[in-house]
Amino acid sequence: MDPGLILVQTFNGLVYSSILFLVSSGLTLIYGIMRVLNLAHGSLYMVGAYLGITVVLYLMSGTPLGYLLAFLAVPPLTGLLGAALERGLIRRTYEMGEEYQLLLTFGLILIFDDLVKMIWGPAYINFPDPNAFLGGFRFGEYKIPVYHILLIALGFSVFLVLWAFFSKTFTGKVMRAAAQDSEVVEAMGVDVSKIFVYSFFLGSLLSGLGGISAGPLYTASPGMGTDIIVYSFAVIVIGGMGSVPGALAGSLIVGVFRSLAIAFYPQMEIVVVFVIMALVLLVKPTGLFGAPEFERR
Amino acid sequence: MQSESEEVSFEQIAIAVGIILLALVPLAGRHMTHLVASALLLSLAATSFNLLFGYTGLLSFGHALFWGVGGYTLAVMMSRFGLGYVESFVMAVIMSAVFGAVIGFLCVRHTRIYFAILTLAFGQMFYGVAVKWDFLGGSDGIYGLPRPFNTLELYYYVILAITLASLFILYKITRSSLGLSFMAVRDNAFRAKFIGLDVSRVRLTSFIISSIFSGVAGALYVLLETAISPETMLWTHSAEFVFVTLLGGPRVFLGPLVGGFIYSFLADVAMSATEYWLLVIGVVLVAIVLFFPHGVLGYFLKWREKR
Amino acid sequence: MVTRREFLGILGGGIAGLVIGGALGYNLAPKPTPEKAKAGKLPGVPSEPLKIGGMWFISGKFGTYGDMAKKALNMAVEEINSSGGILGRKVEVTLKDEADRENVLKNIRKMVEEEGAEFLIGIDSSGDVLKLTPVVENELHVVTIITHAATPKLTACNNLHYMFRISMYEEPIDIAAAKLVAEKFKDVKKIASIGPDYAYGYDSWAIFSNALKKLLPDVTWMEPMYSKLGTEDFSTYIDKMLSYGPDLVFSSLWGGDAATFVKQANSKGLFDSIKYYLNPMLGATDTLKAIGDGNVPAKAEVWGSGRYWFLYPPHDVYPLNKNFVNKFKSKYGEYPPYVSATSYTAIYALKAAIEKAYVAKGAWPSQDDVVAALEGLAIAGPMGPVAIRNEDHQGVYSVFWGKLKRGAPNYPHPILDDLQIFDFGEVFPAPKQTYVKCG
Repeated sequence: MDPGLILVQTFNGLVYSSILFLVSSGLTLIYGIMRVLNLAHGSLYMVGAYLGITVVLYLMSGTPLGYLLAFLAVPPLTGLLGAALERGLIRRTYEMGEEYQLLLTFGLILIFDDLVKMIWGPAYINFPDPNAFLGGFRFGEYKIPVYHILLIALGFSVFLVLWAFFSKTFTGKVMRAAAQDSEVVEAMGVDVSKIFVYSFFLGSLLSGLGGISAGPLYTASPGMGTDIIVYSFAVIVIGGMGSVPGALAGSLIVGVFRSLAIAFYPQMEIVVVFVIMALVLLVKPTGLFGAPEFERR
Repeated sequence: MQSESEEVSFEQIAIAVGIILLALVPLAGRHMTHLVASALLLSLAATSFNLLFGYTGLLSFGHALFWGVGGYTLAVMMSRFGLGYVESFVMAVIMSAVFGAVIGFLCVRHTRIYFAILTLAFGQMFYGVAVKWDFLGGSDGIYGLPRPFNTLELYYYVILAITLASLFILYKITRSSLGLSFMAVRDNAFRAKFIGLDVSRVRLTSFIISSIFSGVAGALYVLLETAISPETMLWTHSAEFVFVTLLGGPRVFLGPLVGGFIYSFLADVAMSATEYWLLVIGVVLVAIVLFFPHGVLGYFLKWREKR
Repeated sequence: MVTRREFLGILGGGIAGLVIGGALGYNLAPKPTPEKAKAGKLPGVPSEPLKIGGMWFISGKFGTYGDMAKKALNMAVEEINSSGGILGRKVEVTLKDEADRENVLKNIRKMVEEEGAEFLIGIDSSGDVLKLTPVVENELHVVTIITHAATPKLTACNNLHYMFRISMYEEPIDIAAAKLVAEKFKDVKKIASIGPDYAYGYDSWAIFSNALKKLLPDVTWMEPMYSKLGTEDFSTYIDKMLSYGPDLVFSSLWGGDAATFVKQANSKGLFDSIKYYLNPMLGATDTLKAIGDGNVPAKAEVWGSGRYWFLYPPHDVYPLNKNFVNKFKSKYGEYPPYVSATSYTAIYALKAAIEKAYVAKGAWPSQDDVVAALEGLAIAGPMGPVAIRNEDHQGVYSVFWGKLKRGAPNYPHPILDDLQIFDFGEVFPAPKQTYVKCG
């Protein structure tokens, strides 16, 4: 096998890992703090991409400034949308079993898909390619687009920011404590419901950031959130549910393995991720970085 | 199904009326027959799912896998091996049990969200296998299967008979000591262990029975639709079972049946009415969770109790 | 390949044939005026509206195809109804969503058995069309006209009675691609390929490679690659191609996948190292819109084909297409994609067949009468004259291939230029013949 190809394919895997990490870190963060598995998390990714299209293509007609603006404006918007969902709908299911949360958020997927279709139309839409102004580097017969390098950098920076936030800031520490035991935190005088909104805001912001990051590479279409959410499950299960470092590890594993599978064993593409996921669950059910499983009921 | 009295109860009357109505369905035209037949099968799959979920406390998000195993086995036996209806159906039941045993064995060590995601992973995995494997027809699936008796009406009675029989068996199971052990495990696995139940084995038993009847529903559906494709195993189809069960009421035996009928008719009407039919279903889902978490039948029974 | 002048000859012949055939048919038919139609004056014609059931993807990732079909259907139905309907019967089209994957056949049956659809049109997915065939032929017995699904198996491997396909299918386009390469790109040495990971992708490659191996036996081929439908990231595939170093890439990706691939191939430098890129599904306005002018590569030649191209037959010689395009553009603000043209033609084919059969019979035709009338029918659609073959029920018309060019300032998206037209006689296999294995 050509070592250059292996290298470049690993790099491709890392690009995909970064996007997966942005989305799945949000998913795992919400799960870790609130024990809510938000199936509609992928819909926020989709909304992020579509809002990005609106800013980049429709408002700023593909200029570099449009990209900058989209990266600054879109994630907070999806964050607010997520927070509104928590306040308006998901909050009311905390007393129920998780099947109700899964179902509620599954309903939201259907609603978001059709709403996006109503607003932006059923046709797939393409972002203008940011590499048109960013360019790329030659690497033998291959070319490494600058945007891909920026995406990998973004993924790792977000990880560092999250790590600093949870270990250095007060709010971050309280959120981590709430993840451990929300009742004790509440007894200490912290408004847990606020923590819940914050974490939904942050998680959804990350998903929207994933959407606006991935959008310029891909094509936006209604229903684009379904694939990423299934892969994100795999990521957080492999890494350990609720663990941000776990999401990083899981994203790296899923992204790189999938890329290498396509490159060298294409028959395995669809199956490989789920095989890894099932194996991890069977061998170490709590995932690579997860806390021990506990029964709540 | 709470009443234990010797007299003829409201429930018994309702069930008798229901069965008579179901027997008369072919008079209402071919589409109604088809619709009710598919509603019956969805209800059977949801009821078997609910044996695992409502009675044993395990939420499977990959149960459409067994629907697919039943369906694909029947289709393969007929189209690749030339077996007859009965032999193929028996093979479908056996394969569903085998798959249920193996996958159940791997899954029941986990509970709650881990169990849900593991079952989802297996469902997606076998979806991938079906898409890639030419023997199963690849992405086109298997099609052009002949319907028994060549008429929809007669086949409808086959479906009705097998579904009612299956529901009866499932009901008997829930009222047996086995069913009681399911519920004991559901309510408190620790205590169940303490009183001498082998929790894993109880869960596995429930898993296998549940897989078998989901497989029965899938096998019967293949001959109704006369085709099967890999999408039947996708997690979105599994979510339909969960939806239907919660719609009707997971804590009542007939809840999934009621849910299955409401869902089937709702989807049928919504798609004719609007291109945004999935939005309609999404809104109903959200409303169910927020306002009727005990399901339609659950509320109905509560309301009757109050009177 | 034919030149533009030869084409005009072919087109002229086709149109002349149509005019003569049409004159014979239409003059014999009692002209239904709107007044007569309202009163239901034509003897033997039912007064209730004629219902046609249609199925396309409406929701989800491929919902754009249903949207395009719906727009064209609305146009056709408005035109027909405002001039008296079909033999005085108003036309109504009901739609079902092909994206309801578990219930495709159930919904088809519903349209026929409950909603009273007398005819069916549509179907996007090749898998669905193969499933539908035994149901229509053995159970429903209604005339069904396919407008999109492109598998050769439908018409080559079945003995169709009730089913027809008006749309171009993949085989003639891929054979034309091989001819194009053999005639124009003789310097090609190494070919790589990618396609969607299901029957359509496999078949497309089989047809193209088998046809080209006969014409250019010395070409070397990379193992074909397939990507899941709806793949987002093609980097891995593109780098694998680059490591092989082809000078031509054949891609049967379609829809959003086709657009995504071109964009990513651009930024990953594929078009700097290959000379030619051929995609039999690229000549679709929805795809070209998504690709955008910015992604038309400067160096490599990108060639596309399709089932219909809105600038062909040329508007100056073929007013039917001009009128269709202008009307569609003014109504919906975009140039018509191929599903619009084929759906539009399907309705008119039904109308022509019903009227032809009525003339022969003097009463509303049965399904078998309509089948007989459709066999051998020639109909003028926006894509040019279409002849429906007797033997296999396949609509036959000429194939185009064109080179991608920035569309500005006249068009909001890139367009196909330097059109190469392949007469159907050159590229359609004989009925029931195919490079694809049946069964």
